[in-house]
Amino acid sequence: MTRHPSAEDLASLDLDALKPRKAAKVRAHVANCVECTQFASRVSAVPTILASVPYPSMPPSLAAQLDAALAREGVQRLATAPATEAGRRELPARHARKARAGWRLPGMSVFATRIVAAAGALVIAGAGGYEIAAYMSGNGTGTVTSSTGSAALPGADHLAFGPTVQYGERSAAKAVQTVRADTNFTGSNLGAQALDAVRDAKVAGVTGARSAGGTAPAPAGSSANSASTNHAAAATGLASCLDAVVGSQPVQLVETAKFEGKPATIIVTAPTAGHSAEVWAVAPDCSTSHPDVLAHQTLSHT
Amino acid sequence: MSDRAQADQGGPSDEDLLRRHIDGDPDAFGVLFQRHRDRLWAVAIRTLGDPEEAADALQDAMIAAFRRAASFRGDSAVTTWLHRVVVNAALDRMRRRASRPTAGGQDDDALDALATSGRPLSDPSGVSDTAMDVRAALRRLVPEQQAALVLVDMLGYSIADAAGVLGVSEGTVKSRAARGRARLAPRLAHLRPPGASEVNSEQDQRNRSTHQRVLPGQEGGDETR
Repeated sequence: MTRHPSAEDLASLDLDALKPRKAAKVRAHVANCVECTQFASRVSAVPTILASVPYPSMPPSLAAQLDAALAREGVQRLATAPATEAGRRELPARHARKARAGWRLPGMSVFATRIVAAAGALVIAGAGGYEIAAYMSGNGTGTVTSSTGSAALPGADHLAFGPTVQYGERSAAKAVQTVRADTNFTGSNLGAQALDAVRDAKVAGVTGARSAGGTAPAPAGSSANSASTNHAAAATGLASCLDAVVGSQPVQLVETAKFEGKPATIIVTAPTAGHSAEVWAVAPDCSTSHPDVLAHQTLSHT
Repeated sequence: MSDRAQADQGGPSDEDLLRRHIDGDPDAFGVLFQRHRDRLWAVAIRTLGDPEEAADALQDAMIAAFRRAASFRGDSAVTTWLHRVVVNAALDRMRRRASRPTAGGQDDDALDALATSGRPLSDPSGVSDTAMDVRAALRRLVPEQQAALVLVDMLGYSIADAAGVLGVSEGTVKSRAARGRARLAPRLAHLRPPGASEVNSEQDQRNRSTHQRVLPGQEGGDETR
């Protein structure tokens, strides 16, 4: 009798995994070997046995948990990730967008707001004829260092860059690129609009505080804005306004736009362990000594 | 649900959804996941056996896929890529489990000897829970063999599809599946479907001993640890 083929070779017959000559040899052996015939039979039964085992389907609670985890990822990406080049190119026009499921605010969806709260996104939006975004990390006095001016964002005619603002303690100073938009925020829809603003700005690659020490990179095609001096002056005021309004919460976005038809700055903060995300609309002259808050909304129940 | 079915319904393709996600659409990846999550769960639960571990692996995998989507090169279908991420997350967990000192897998030889001695590994009272027996037997395989059997035998994927998911050649999938089946066969023989003939137990025991002695290939190979 020839030497027994290996167990793997016997199992390989079913899988058509042997070269023709070897397969023929193994088959010839099996045909005359009771032991190998039995082993091959057992091997052939394995797939059927494996396929017959019942397993639980995905629990609904897990489906919800995973949806929430992915939504958190989405918020975090919005809050921290730089936009892709493709994202810049394809920045959607905000006017054309409506608040989406998963991005609702309190009173709209408890589920979504819980996600927002957990993600730690912070947005500051402001009103006025200037733009400032800043990252609050202390009570230091803000300084405006940017001469970036305003530049239209490629593919986003409703968004423009404002100056980069630095503030916070010197050791932990943060710089944030501000943006301008023509959005008219309203008191009744402030939260949803704020989240849309954060998203759009994120997609455009302009939100998110950086460590100070470098100015924000200007987008391709940017050009100096003759109003940058005024912007800078306003930004100084806004930096102090941030100190007064948002305290130590991290600022996600500062956008100059309109509130109820009048110039205003929208400030959005990120939720932290102890605080919910919040949005403020402040008047252009808001400062530490004159915190002129037009509207304020918490973006989460928690 | 298949990509094709979605397309027939006029929905975006998987590729469209992934592109939108990469471009910043906050909802696209969630839609993509919902479309395939049942199949991805099926892979995770069968590979790991434990619902909690499967849940953790699936979540790890989806977050990784979410973050790394931009690295997807389109050299395979999006579904294949998603499966691969899940399988890799599950394999990572299996390897970590295997590396723990108290985990099973250290005494493979002793268990093989037990299995081939003719005594069932499962409940000696004869009350055998198929699922538990299969799970216990699968755990004795190296993770790569397990993954191949999960895809090919449990879920019925083609060798080609399994190769795509595992990122190996079809020949390697066949080799892993063959080795896995060969090692499972003695352990699952008592679960054979009705109608399958079986030699009497004494003969059976002798035969298996023969194979164990004569056929070193059952344990050999680069797949075995």
